[in-house]
Amino acid sequence: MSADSVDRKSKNKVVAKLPKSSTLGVREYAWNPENAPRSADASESWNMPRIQQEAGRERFNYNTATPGEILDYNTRYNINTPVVPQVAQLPGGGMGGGYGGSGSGSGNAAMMNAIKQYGRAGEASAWDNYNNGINNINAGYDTAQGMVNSGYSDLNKYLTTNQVNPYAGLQQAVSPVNNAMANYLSAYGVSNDPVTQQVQASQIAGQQSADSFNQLQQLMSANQLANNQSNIDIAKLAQNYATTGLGAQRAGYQANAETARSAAMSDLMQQILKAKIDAYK
Amino acid sequence: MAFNPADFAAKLQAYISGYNKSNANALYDNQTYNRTALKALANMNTQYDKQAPQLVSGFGRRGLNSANVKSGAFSTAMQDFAKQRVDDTSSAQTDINATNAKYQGDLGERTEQLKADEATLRAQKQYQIDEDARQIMGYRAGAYS
Repeated sequence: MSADSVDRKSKNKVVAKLPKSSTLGVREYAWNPENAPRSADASESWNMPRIQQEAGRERFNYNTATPGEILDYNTRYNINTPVVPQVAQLPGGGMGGGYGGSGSGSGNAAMMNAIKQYGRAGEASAWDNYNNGINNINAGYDTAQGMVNSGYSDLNKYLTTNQVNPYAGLQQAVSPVNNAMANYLSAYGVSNDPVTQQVQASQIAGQQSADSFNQLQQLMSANQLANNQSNIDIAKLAQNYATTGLGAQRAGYQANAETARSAAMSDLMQQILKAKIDAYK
Repeated sequence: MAFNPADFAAKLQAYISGYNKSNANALYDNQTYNRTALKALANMNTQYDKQAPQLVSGFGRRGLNSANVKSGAFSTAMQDFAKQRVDDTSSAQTDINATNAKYQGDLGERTEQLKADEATLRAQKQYQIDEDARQIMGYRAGAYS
């Protein structure tokens, strides 16, 4: 359809001629224009079934249907099929004026009004889906974050209250070394000096053995304390990681929801545009 | 795989049971050792007490020890005897002390291992809860996940 033809049709109020076309032969319908309701509201609900009948679709009232029913209906009849609109050639500025167009003639105006209603219902449905999705995402995030926080609270409590150092105060005993024969030797006039030296040497040997053990325990004790603190630090790091991960995951879901909403709105716009184009044919 | 509290409890109980069993065995072994070692030490002192008069009388029979004679050989022998007793008894006591210290050290190591195992188990539990939380969040997000 060229721009000239569009202008010509617009000037000649082409839409007013629509009832004369082969596809809009009113005698084929169960409802005749003469029988159409006269009030504005009833007229609108009368026009949409006529459009649906023409398209070979089951009768459906967009004004009373729920968003979910609207989506089901659109899906069933492939109403979401994108079209390549020729916006520049549309009379009345195409989508620039929102869902409604300027139209011409009473029949076309009624159709435009029906399209406008359809668009608003579709937009509301898209927003409802988006809001429900966001609410679910946020609720899921709260649940997940609650699980993570509760779990790490328990873990941190365990790690903090179990700062066990099994090596604390662990020492090897040093028993005193005595010369049990000191009196015996003295009774026979024998000097105890060499024996006393042996006592001192044995005392030193016993102390060295204990010192080696005690040094090892101190080293293990320090390692244990460091390990305890390390476990707490790792738990904090893991909690931060989990929380950050959930936040990133939520952001991703929210982005998906926004993308889906945008796509739905885009599809809706294209459907409306197509309907308007069809109306002007 | 979602977090399984029963599995967690079973593993923790297994760690604790193993710890208790090892401790019981070690305690029994340590008590047995102490009884044996202390008895051996007591017997050693008894033997030294019995041998001392025999040593003195041996030097007396050879005329190397009497009220009027104090030979250098007797004095040296008595001093060596006493030094040997000091060395033997102190070594035995040091062995007992070291063994008891090792028992305490082993107990500490087992306790450390138990705590480490429990900490690991609890960390694994938390990791699983993290995974579960992410999945639950995904379920709630539905088509947007």
